[in-house]
Amino acid sequence: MEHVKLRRFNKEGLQRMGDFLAFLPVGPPFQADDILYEPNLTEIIDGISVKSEMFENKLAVAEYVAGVLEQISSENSVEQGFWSWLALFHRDQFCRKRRKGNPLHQKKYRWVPDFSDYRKKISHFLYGPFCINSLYKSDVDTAMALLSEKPDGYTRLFKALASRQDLIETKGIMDVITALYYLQTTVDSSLEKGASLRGMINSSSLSIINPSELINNLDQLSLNWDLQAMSCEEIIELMM
Amino acid sequence: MPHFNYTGKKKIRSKDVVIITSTVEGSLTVSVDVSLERYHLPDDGALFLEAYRQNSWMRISLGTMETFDSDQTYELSEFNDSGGILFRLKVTEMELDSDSENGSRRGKILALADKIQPLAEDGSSNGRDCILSVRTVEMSAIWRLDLDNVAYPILCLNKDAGSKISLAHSWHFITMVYPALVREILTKIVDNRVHGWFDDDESWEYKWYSFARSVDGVYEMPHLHNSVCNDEVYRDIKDWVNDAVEAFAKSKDVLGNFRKLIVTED
Repeated sequence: MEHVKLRRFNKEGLQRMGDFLAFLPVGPPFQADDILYEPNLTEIIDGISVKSEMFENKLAVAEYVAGVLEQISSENSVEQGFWSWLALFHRDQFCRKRRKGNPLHQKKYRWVPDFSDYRKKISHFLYGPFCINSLYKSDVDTAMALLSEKPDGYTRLFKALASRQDLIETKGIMDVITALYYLQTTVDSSLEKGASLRGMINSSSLSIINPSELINNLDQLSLNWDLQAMSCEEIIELMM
Repeated sequence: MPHFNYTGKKKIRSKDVVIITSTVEGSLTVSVDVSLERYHLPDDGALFLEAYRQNSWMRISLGTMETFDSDQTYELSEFNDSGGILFRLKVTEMELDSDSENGSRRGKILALADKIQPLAEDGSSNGRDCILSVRTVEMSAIWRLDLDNVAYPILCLNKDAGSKISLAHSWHFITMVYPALVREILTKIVDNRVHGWFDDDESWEYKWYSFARSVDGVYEMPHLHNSVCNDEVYRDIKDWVNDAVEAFAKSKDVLGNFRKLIVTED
């Protein structure tokens, strides 16, 4: 695909995008391209060009978005119009198809970020991975349980954590989650601390449990322990 | 779920913590003062303040018991407005000494105050004693109640439906919405009785129950201390909720106001 000028939707553009999404599962009355480049619905941002890319996982999404944001002024990072336009621009990545080929209905907040609600904004196709990756930029292995998911993925683990900013922003807990839900099920030798995390889990009696059950266990521990101040090893020790 | 306090954690009374929120140049800030002498906490105990509202959360390090400075203010960067924000103050063990004979260990919570409602800048209660918080959100419906993971019910109003204050206090809204709102809240406190809120006079359920009981005609909730659920219990409780909503509607003259609204619109 060719490079195109980066844009953001204006208020009317966001409304038209809402119409497009509402009809997506049954076939919208107009094409995405009809609104993506319509001058009355969009504004060009800083003359930057972007290209639609195929992402391997959410980490790749996050890195792509970071690259775009580096080139534009910072106020765009809280602009619904920016995130929505970029998500629709990459619609082929995020439109999951049903068996019959029709697109699966996705909640609107996955396309248009709702910044007033943490769960909704972290569930946005682009903003979520970018936000999680920004938290762990210096140690990206920590968040691999979430960032290794497919770009359009919305697993039970992701859903369970999305409603808990206190867990997503706690490094020790995210390390435990990556050790349990990523390293135990994936062969990935690229993670620098993979061996040590794997070793910790293997020497403990911990096994993969339903994410909601894990969160319940963590909530129980947090009544007496400040998990935010504890390392992965210390949390695992408490859980044994 | 039962709570086990097996580490000897102390409960800090909410009146020993003063939290004030204010808006400075468009940013929401918070300042904290504490009076913790009575709890005999170690000087090197670490203080953390956590702000939360539903699934949003942020944490601020306040230093140690010895270095804590009540003149400091901190930005609440995760929140756009103070509506419904609650605070948790933790004093924790910082030393990494798992072999210690007195059981000291990093991360152990030594003392905790939770569900603290902030005061406004002028020291007024800022709704500290309120039983219903109001905030505006983006949605298609006009209103909804948030009752999960909150320390007291939050009435969410559509942000495009006008001023939240005038809407929430309008007679139209009180007449048409409040009985349904009260029903939803009372149903929730009935469900939550298994968590034992009736023993905690600072819980929102206790405050709402007290409010309901203050309305003429509302009698004691049946099976309050009984977590068994069978047909008889279910019927009694449903009757209690219905009767309480009826009494509330009567106290607000909902029918009379509804008739006036109809006449006005004709």
